[in-house]
Amino acid sequence: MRRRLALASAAALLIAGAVLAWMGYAGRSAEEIPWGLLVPGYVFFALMATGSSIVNSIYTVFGYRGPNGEYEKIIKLGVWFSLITIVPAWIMILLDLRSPLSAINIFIHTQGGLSLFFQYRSGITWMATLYALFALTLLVELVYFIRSEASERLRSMKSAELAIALAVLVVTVVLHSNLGQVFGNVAAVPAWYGPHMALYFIASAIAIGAAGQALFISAFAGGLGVREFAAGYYSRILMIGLPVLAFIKGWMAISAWYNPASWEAYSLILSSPNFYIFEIGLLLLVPFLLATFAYYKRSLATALLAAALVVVAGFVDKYDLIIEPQTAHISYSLGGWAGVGSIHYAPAPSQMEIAIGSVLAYAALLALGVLLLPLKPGERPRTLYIFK
Amino acid sequence: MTRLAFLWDQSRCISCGACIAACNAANYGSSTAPNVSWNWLRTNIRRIELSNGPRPMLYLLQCQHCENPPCVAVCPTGASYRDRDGLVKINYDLCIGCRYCMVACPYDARWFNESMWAPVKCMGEECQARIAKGEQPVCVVVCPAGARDFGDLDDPSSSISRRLAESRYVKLLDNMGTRPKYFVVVGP
Repeated sequence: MRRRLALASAAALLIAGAVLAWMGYAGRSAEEIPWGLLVPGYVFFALMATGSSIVNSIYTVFGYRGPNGEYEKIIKLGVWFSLITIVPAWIMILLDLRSPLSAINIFIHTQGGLSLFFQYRSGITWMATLYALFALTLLVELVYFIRSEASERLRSMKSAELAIALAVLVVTVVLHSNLGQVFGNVAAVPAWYGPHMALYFIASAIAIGAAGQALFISAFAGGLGVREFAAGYYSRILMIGLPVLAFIKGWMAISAWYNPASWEAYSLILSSPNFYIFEIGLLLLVPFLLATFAYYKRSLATALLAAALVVVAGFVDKYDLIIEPQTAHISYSLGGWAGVGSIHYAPAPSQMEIAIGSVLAYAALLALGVLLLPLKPGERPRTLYIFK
Repeated sequence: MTRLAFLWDQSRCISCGACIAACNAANYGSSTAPNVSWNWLRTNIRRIELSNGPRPMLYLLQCQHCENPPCVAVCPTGASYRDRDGLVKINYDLCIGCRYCMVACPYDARWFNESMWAPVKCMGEECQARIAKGEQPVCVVVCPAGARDFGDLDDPSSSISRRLAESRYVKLLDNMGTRPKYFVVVGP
């Protein structure tokens, strides 16, 4: 009865999210900059998904099982989290296009007969390709783990497990570095231009991915007896990841200082309270201190507080990094033609509806996976090969 | 080979805005709906005033029809393309509205048309139709000071080639490697 109620609630949440997102799509309006709220929203979830996938690879590729094999109890939940976290990213970016189905034009042209197309010079083409591979390889990995519960033969195929995990890892790393370079290859936006975006996106993804996954896993940590492990594991990743993120972020700002065109955007970022409150305080400093405390005291509550801060401030960080350089775009890329004036951007209500709808649908899908799929130890696939 | 290009003579321009209004009328049906991207009219020519120099200066900015256009390189569907005459165009049957071209254009020469949910730029449909008939774009035709020209750079007898041969000109952001074909004449 409780399970049915939970299923009904998740389904209702999914419908509510879909309706809200569709309302936003139907009533959308043009914004002052080309890439508004939905693009940082999409980037945020894409990074959380891929970062979470890298965190999984510590188990799947590098073989870390935890002091008492605790990791084995949560790996399927971790893979499910990575797989389903890409969905809100897709919803946001597809609903930002002319029509969601138009994305097919990236690969298939129907003018004058059916033909295949691949514009290899476009970062977006590669994103579409890599997303398909990311979802496919993660799905294979998840099904492998689920089916392993029911098949001794599959469980013993360690080389197959490693091959799948390696494929996931390679696709993941290429994917979020390419996502960074979708921005980093744009010479017209000096604050983005350069290889630092790929590095920043990878470091950022690991921190956000670990934080998001920690919040998700924590819901089951008590029942699975992995509270101490989760506290130590995720806080340690944040302890390592956040200083790396700070290091890259610091050099990005210093490098921008030497380039007046870049500085035009960075001065906007640095003059905003967001930078000091969110990007420095709540993304880097406070979570690092909390994670250090959580690691040594094995405090899951403190680790979750650090994780929650990284998730919230991580979004603000992406928002600033993507929005501000566009508002400073024209005034500096055209040399001294500063008479254009600066642009003030605020997300349109329709964009917020799409973003919130996507997040609601995402939460519902996460819950549906836990309710329908055998993701916890002892749960076995009984229906249609992969369902409980 | 044909390489169609624009010329704008800054030293002759009287800043009347006829080209801007004509573009709005011909290509956007005199629409008064806003162009949110540029905070401007629905027209493919943007007026930029440089106010921080020793004296005010005006630039008219539009698509540069680059020979190495970043907008074409980043377009994931091939919707942005260079035609055989060297003009950069958009195929709206293929455009998915991702706006990567808008972000990648260093001239900010594209604006977002809300009703089409796609980027637009010079040339508009009416001007393309005029060129197909061997006529000049409307902005060139209406200019009362003869400050604008359009034609084939590879034809030495074309009006634009002759004017460029006799003038000092600059190409905007030429150092970015875009090889723009919008020539700003600054004097004889």
